[in-house]
Amino acid sequence: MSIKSLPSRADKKKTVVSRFTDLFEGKYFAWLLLAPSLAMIAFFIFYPLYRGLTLAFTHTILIESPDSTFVGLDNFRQLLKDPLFWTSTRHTLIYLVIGLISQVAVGLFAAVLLSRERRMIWLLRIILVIPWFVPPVVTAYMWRFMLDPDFGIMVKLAHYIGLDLGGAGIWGDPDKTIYGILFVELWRSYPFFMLFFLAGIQGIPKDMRESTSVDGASALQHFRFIILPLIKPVMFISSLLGAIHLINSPTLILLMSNGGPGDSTLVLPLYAFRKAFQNFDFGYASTISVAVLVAIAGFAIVYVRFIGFGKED
Amino acid sequence: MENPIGNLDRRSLLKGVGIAGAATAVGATAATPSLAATKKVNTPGTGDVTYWNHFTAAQERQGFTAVTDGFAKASPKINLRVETILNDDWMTKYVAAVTAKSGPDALMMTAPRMGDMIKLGGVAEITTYAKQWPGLEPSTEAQKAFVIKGKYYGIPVFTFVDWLYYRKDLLDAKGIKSAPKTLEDFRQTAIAMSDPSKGIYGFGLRGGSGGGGYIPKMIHAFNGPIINWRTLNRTVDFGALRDAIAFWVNLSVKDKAVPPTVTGDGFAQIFQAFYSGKTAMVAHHTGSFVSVGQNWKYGTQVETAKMPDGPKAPTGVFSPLGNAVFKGAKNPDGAFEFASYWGSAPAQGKFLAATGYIPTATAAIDDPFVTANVQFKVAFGALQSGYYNDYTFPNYTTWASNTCLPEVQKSLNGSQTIDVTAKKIYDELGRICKINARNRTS
Repeated sequence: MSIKSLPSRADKKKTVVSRFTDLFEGKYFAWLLLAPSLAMIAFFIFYPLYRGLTLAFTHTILIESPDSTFVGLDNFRQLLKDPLFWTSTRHTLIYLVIGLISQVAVGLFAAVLLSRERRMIWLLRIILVIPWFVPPVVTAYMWRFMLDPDFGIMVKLAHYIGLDLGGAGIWGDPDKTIYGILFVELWRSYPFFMLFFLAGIQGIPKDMRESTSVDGASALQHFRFIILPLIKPVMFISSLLGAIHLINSPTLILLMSNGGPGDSTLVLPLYAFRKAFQNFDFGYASTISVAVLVAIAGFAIVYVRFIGFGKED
Repeated sequence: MENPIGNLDRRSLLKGVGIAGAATAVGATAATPSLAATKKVNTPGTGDVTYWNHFTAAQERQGFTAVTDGFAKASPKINLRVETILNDDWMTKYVAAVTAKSGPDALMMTAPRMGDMIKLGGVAEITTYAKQWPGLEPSTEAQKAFVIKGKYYGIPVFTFVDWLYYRKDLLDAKGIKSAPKTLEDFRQTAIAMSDPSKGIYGFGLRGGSGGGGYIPKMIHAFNGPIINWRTLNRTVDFGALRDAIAFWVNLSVKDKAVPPTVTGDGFAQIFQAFYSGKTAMVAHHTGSFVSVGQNWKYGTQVETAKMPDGPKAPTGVFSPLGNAVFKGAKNPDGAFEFASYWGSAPAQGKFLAATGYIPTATAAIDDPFVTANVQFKVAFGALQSGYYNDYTFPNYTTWASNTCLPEVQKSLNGSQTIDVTAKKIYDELGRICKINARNRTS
């Protein structure tokens, strides 16, 4: 028969203290530390997302009533039958594909150019980054005038090299306007890619170029077989961010053409904006936004799956 | 909603108001003798007043600064905090403020936007303030535009009055001795003044940004009122609407009397073309009076004329801009004090001198600026012959800018027939009217 000794006062004190200190070491404490961040994420990310999603299933037209009425999938049915939605979707895709390809190409070219060690190269780097710093409002109005068919300096310069941008002009011709805005978007956004790519290229050890030179590789081969594979992760992530920016930010379109002439530059976020803040139809605007969200998520998933980011080569 | 479609003439502004005011005073005194003696006055404001405006043009800013400087002297206990919001962002900010129940104390309100702004619930009724304000002129058309069912929602500060700026020297050179009086005269003048081979056009049509507002005016000119103000039902005849669209579009498509850049031409472009001599006529309100005078000399090179009349009604619009108090304003007393200050003749006179915007206070109409510039006689003469007050029904501005403008642009660039354009505009107006009529009855 064993006799259990009663815990002494000192032992008792130790247990209380250890329980207390356990609070600062266990998983509960980790959750406690995470709680403020989780609360912030819930409040600033999930709650707006939840509100947006639930609004999409309601009839909420502020000018009729401040109240929302649940309408199930009615807004989505209306969306599928809405010709403006499909027109905007087509324009959004054109804007995305051409915008992304042109910006990546020019950004890459500029990055390669700026990666060379030359005297005063830092000055060129600063100059080429300037468009990224210019506020979109300034960019929009500046280019709107520079591409004006009557008074625009760029139109006059184009005329000297045999390119006719007169007549209805870029802003009056529905077949040209979207490309005019894409050109301005390219001017404004290529430094974003350029900076990413330049950082990637500068991370490649310089002696690799010496090695490939010894092996007889040309500059083009060095670029094709060394630089491109090594900056692939950078290209991937910057392209994904650039694509999301192109789909989500209709600022330049809003300022330069407001979706016109006609509907020729109407893109999905601008259409949602109009529905929300001009028609005050927040239910339908949320439905369009949900469609954009699904499209972006789908694009990101497909991109990740097929481009293979995160997989080891 | 009161019928704001009525004629504004100078007589009604100058004399009618006086007679009505006197009659009201006599009537009020006779009916309730004690009321005049115990008449309340508004509490003087103190503290901060946040004010939203959407002035961005240089002349507007200059005039606005003169007004705010004057207010600072008149009400030294109020600290006016001015926030300028781009016109294009106005409703976005307003909706956000209303939804958040947190906005400015006072804010600008144009007549066409009033229906939307009140319906969205951010504009406070200011009847009590207005009736206690000695400067109130209830009989003026400008003030009536901000009254719905006897309730006051705004104090007018100036009116947009459309007129025509035309190059007198160019018209003289072509042997055209007077400005066009009807839309058909206007069309013939525009054709006569055009020479596309030289890049010269008769009329700077605003077919791009901000051009939506001209289309309902054309429809009104070909039809008369497009809605019934009592029932809010659509009254426009489809044939008349189609004719209006055809007239506007064909100035470009058939007559080649407007620049080919028309669908991209906003305010800046039409005035740039006018100032550089590429167009002979441009339609805008009196707010461009000063800047036009800085580019061309009035009397010899440029003149003003009333907007040409349509087959059924005038084309020109009288459209007041006023100040309102935000519902839930932290400082409504101070907000109304600013609104009433700008509603007074001295403040409006300062603004007029900087911009040319027609004042609404009766006394300000006799301002030396008006009497010194003979061109303003044209504006008042035009008003006498029957301009109409702009439409203010809910969804009006959206219909004008998001349906009328893009659909007309499609016809202007040849991608859609006039019939299809007219049908879309007609149908959308019908849809909006049904909603408004339903909301009105409910």
